[in-house]
Amino acid sequence: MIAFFIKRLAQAIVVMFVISIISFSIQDNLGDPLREMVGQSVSEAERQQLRNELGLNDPFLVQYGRFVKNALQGDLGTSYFFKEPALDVILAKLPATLELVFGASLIIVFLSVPLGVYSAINPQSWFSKAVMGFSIIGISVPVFLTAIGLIYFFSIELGWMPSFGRGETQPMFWGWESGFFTWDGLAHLVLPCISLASIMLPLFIRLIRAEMMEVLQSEYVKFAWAKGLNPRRIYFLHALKNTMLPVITVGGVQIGTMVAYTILTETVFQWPGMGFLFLEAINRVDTPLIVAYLIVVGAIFVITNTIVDLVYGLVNPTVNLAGKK
Amino acid sequence: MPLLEVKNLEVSFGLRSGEVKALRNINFTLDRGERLGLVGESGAGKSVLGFSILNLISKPGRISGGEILFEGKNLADMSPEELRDVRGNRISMIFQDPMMTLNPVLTIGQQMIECLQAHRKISKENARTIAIQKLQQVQIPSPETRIDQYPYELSGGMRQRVVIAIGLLMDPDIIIADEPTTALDVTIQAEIMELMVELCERNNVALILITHDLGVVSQVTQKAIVMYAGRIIEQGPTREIINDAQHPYTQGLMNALPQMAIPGQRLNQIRGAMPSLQKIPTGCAFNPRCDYVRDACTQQLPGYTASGNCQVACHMVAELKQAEQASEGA
Repeated sequence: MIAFFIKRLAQAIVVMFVISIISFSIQDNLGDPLREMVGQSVSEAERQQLRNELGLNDPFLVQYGRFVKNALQGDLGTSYFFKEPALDVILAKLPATLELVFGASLIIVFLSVPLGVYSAINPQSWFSKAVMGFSIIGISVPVFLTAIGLIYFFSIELGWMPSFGRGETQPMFWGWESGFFTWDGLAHLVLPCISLASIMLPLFIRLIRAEMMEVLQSEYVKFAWAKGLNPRRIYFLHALKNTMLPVITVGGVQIGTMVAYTILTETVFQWPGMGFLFLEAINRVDTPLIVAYLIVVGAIFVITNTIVDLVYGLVNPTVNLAGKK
Repeated sequence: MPLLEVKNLEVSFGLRSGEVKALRNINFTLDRGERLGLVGESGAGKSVLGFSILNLISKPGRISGGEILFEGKNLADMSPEELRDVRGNRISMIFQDPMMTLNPVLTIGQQMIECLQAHRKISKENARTIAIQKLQQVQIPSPETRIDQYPYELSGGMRQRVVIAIGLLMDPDIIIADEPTTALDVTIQAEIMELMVELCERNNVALILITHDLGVVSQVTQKAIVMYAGRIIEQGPTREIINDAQHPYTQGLMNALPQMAIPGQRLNQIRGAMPSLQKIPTGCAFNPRCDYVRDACTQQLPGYTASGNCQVACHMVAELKQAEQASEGA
């Protein structure tokens, strides 16, 4: 187990190093931050002086070295716009995004498994065919369109759901404001979570269905039938456990991708999360914030994948994380 | 009443190109404790027959005619519930490849205990005790630790022993073994076969052994069925079939055994290959490969002729027998 973590940590360091180089090298090409920071009246000489003070004229490697040195101390730079440490600005928005991703994940897990399993067991039924048909639509329609459609129907036409924002939140620990514990907060979560799930859900239904159908053809499932077991046990223990192995792997990667997808959802729903913040930062050429966002998202990827590997080890006995004999 | 009686069994596969009959006109009986060998080339329908006895043919296949009478009850039209009561309980099956038969994510114990609990009201502890006993019977060393291991921790031979142990769990009346040793190392094939036969003998279990190894059939079984292109072409007491095969195909199989070859010369073989089920020739399905082919063979499906204690589906049986006696007399 310890060996696994050490190996993982080493991998994470390499990954984070690569992410930092890539995201940091973007910053030179995003336009002139000075234009956004200062007004029209500032002269060119003053701008140059400011650039020198900010270190923007130093060679790339010097800038990068300074960045890494500060980053190792937890300082990812100061946002030009907010005039606050970029990391703090992002972490303040992190709960909103994580709750959005969590809500969407719940939808995906609780719908994709039963729907995928059902349509694998009864591929000929009209319901399975309908599920497959809708999943194609779900995959094809872009998130922002789904989001706008949801707002149109449920907020404007029917007036059932709020159309933007997080609603009422409740303070938790460490400044975490949660929308999960008030009715208003939950109501605000519904539409954004659905639209965020709208691409991943069909993807997972199809993945689970395909894997399950393959597993149902396997010899060990046939043998389970020959043993005279209850069909429920065959489907939900023998077949499902093997089905979930590749699904878990894909799922881990997709959680990270979902964090990235929040940019679209958050923008449409004016959700005060990281994705929305990131888009604003790009508009303002707030490079330290952009770099910090990319690094935080990278870290989320690394962490979720590590957790997924741990879970995978629990489900699949041939993967031996603990190093036991 | 025989333990198992198969009457006019017919199995069809609904393919896109139309319905294909994988088994036609299958008739045989099996008595308690009897050992029956099912022989034939790949694709002859041996495995389909084995699976159809348990009514376990995977789609798009189905039993399209006939009866499978187990203790007088027809397995072909039983409800799923009734079938479940027979499968793994009264009739169990041993599959070909032990590397694929056991579920990789469940322990040996889980896979044994669930079978006991599916057929009997029994506590986990008691089921475990029985499972360990059965593992002992199939000569698995230290079964108390093996039972908590996963299939990947066991060798192929060990796994097949576990599969046999699962087959024996409920003390069934019949075990259907579908090429149980083909996937194993040659050095342990004989060992596993011996073990299986011994356990069947001791517990008075009838065995249906599906194989293409005539040597094993002659050593192990009392009765043999030779299949070709979905039909039984010869059946009878194993000794008679081995010593005095009547059907040209069976004769060809006997001649193809390596022991029959003359050292230094090529091995004997039957020319041609088995037809695919979509393109079975009219008349006797074997006629394109047969040395004794006559007009009748290409026109008419041969019925069964009694020859000694055997049933043979060949137009030429009488003629061949005469010729044989004539040559012996000369």
